[in-house]
Amino acid sequence: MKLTDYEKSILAGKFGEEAKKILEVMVKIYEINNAEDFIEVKEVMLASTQNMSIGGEMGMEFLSRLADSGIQFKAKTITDPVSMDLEGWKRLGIPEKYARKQKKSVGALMKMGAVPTWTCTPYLTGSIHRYGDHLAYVETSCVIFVNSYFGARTNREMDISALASAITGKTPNYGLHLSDRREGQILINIETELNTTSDYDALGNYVGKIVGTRIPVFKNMDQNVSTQAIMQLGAALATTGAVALFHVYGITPDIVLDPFKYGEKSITQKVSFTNADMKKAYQELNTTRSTEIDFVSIGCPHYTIDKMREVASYLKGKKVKKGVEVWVCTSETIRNMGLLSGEVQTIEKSGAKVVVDTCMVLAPVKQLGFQNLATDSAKAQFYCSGFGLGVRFGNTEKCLQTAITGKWEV
Amino acid sequence: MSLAYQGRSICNGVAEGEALVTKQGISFLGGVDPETGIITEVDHELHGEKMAGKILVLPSLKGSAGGMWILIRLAASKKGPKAVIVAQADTILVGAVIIGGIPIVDSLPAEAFQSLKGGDRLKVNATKGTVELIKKS
Repeated sequence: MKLTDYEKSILAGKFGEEAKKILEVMVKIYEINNAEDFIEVKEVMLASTQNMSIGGEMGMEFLSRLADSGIQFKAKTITDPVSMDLEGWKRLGIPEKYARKQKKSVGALMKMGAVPTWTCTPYLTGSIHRYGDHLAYVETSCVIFVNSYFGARTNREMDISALASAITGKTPNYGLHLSDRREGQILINIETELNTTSDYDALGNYVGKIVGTRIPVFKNMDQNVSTQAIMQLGAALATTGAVALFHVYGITPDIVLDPFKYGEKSITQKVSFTNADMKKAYQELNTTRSTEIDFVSIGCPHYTIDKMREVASYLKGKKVKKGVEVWVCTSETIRNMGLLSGEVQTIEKSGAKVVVDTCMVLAPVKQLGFQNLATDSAKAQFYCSGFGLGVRFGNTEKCLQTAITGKWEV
Repeated sequence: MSLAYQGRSICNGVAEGEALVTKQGISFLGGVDPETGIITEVDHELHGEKMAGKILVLPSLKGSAGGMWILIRLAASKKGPKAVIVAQADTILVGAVIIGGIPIVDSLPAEAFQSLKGGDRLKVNATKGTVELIKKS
């Protein structure tokens, strides 16, 4: 294993205990995966909220001490959303104490040189990768999107391994960085029409449960499928399955370039996705029988400008029902674009809120008192059910209709 | 004469204690209480068991990478396992044991996982990568 003098000095403790342990983890991951070399990464993505929400005080202290050591990120390092809107947290009802802690962690990341993207869809706003680019990403919906749609290469990283890549600019060369580990293993034949983006959520939710850790290949997908639909499919797949890559005939680059290698060679099972399967997926995604909805949240993963336009067009001239909180989640970059074109103003005039830097999965929605959520995202459905909210899942229009009436129509 | 198995060292350290054995994977995020170290996943064969002070023997972790922080927190509050014996260590586990300072051994011969039973008294020398069976349950 070749380490630079700088890396050796970190391992010797030059930047304190935290940086030392981070590099020890990198060395161990190299060893247990029998990697033969390191590769340079073009970009790193941290899921910084793992430190804050899950790691609790310990996670935040760890990050603060790391930043105080004076260490700097060598790789370009972008950031996943945090647990609140960094400017508009007050209007979401986030307590001040909570906000202070978030800002401390944000400050630590900035101190080390992070690029503050705070979005799970950075590939819409600057992180555009080329085929074969090596990356080290944590956010699972982002890992699967860049691997599949761009043909870039990243393993499913976690906080510490991604911090190691941020500090050193490299990652052990194993797993999905290698072409031979990217071959499709299970073929999914689509035998029903997919119309709305949430139909792709249902597809991903259903297939994720079947494939486990295997790489799925989709056949017979609409060749005019939208980027937003591919985003929804990936996010849902990576939620119910431990999936970091999928191929779509005629659409994703690996399989377009070599259909035999990625689409046939290693396939050991074939399954179909029928209209009945889709109906079953929709049923399973509804985890409450209640029709009273107090929280409508859409935009997981963070919406594209196309989706913002669709929402604005629906809400134009309408009013959100009193007592219903509505979050339309996106990145700050897309929000600013929507402000210039007027969509954001249209949405907010209805009483809905355009929320940035966070979403219903990462904000403390249970503590904010919400009972029943309506969403168009299978990923959000899974996590919010886990937090103890009742969830209704349906397409974007149905969610917006619920925002206006306060009732989920069955 | 006690029985000893040779595996691979992932993180240095020595620990002795009672084995808590499962053939199922564990998800620390959502499957284990971060305050008490009790396994809360309803369908898990160790549901309701406490891992504090035990030597956890399991095939692998499952679920979210965020689970790493739960194991680190449990290690700091002494509510986590004293040591971990795992069939195959993954990225999440490596992060947790190195940051949390938990002795861990993997890649033991297959018969070790067949014969180790809950309640066995074990001595784990993670520095050498060995697991010694001191007393059968």
